[in-house]
Amino acid sequence: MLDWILEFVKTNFQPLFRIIIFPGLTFLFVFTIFAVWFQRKYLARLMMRMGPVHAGKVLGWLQLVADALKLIAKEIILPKYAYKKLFLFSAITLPVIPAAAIALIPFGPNFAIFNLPGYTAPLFLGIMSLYPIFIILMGWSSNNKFTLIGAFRTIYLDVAGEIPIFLAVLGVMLWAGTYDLQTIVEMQKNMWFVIPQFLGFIVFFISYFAMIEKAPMDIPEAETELVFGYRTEYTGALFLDTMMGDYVNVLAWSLLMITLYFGGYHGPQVFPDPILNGAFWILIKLIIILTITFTVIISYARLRIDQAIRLGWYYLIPLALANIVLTVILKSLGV
Amino acid sequence: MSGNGEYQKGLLEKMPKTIRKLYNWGRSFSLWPVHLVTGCCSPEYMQLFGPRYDLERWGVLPLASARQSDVMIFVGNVARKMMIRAKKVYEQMPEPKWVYVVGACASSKGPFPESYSLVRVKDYMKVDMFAAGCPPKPESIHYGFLKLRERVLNEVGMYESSGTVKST
Repeated sequence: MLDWILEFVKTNFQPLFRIIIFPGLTFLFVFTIFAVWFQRKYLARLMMRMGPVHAGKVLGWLQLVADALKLIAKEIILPKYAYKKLFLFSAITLPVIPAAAIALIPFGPNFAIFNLPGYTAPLFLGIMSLYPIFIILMGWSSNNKFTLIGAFRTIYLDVAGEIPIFLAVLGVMLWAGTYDLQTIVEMQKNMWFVIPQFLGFIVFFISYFAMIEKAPMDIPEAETELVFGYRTEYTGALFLDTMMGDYVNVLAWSLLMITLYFGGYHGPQVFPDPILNGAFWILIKLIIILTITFTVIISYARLRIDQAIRLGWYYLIPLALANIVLTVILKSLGV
Repeated sequence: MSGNGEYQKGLLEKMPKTIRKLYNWGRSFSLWPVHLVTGCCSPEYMQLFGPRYDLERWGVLPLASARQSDVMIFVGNVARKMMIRAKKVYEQMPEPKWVYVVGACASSKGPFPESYSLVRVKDYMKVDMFAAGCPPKPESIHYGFLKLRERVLNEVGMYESSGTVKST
């Protein structure tokens, strides 16, 4: 039995490493812990506070481990009138959706978890469009008015944010002339697509906040209006799971932004190995994107739901369409 | 709800000592309070999350919902009608939970000993920590939090602090 396992690991080392260690499971957990810690610490520093300090001596780096230990050991309350099967299923499945989408992102030359040549960009968007459905299921099955209102607001916000973001990605696909994320990254070797697709990038960046549901568009979980939005009723380990889904969602959209506009894994040569070099640069870019995201989160007040919908329909969709028209004109002129 | 807690108690008391210590360490660094404004000690309490006192250094994160919180904080005088609501919030919190009473009114009716409407919190549920003062200074509330943290850290039984709620 042991020999068989060793043999299996030896023969399939590359795919197993991808699935379990680097762009896969371990990376997702480590990233979630890092991102929440980084958010708390960075936001605290911007508020002139210290943030977590005492857990783990240095910079409070064990803070999230302590939180996770506590939440795992806490009681799980199933609300009496909740639809219990769906309540559990939707929360547990939530992080799987963005994690499945991350499998398509190239972290190095031909180094994605799921090396699929062809229609990876539309497939990514297709998988990510399942994410709000699980949020709606969470909100509905909790049988609580706050969670239900949070779920409805998610629907509104998705109508406002998802269409512009898809149109922006369509602009990139038209400019590159391909659906393949790997090829799109390879074409950005000399010039990042943020320069020819700047209009599309603006649309993408604003819709990005609607998709990750953070301030200024944290309308579904507005703390001052709805208690905690769609995740009000989740306690303990289930709450941990929903938060993990949230941050893996942030990771997925940030990685898509890096892949489409900021040259993916391209960067100056630091390590001789191209895959190691690619992974290094993608992580550096990820940290920069996260810093910008958290700065925006702390700087802007929350929009009202009608303001967010007006922003989406009146400004972002026309801008995205203008970007597509511009791209087609530039392409037909042969730039 | 209490039934579930009893079940967990039986399960977790059999745990090895090291794992229990690990859990206690985790808990002691993430006491999330539920902010229920019952009275006028709350301006003192609010300062704890500002730049000067910053309780988040100790992992105390103010969240919106009672479902994810650990410490129930009574800030100021508790009227008889408020106690009904406070008990509802307390019952919504998941099981390892602590009660922290801030201010003289909530602990012992303070300057209104013969009031018809004020109640003492300790008559209704088991209280883990009191902060004295009318109102207590933010330093005092901060000190109480650290004491509560020490208590959680050295807790032997897993759920000994959770108490039953008496009816009003």
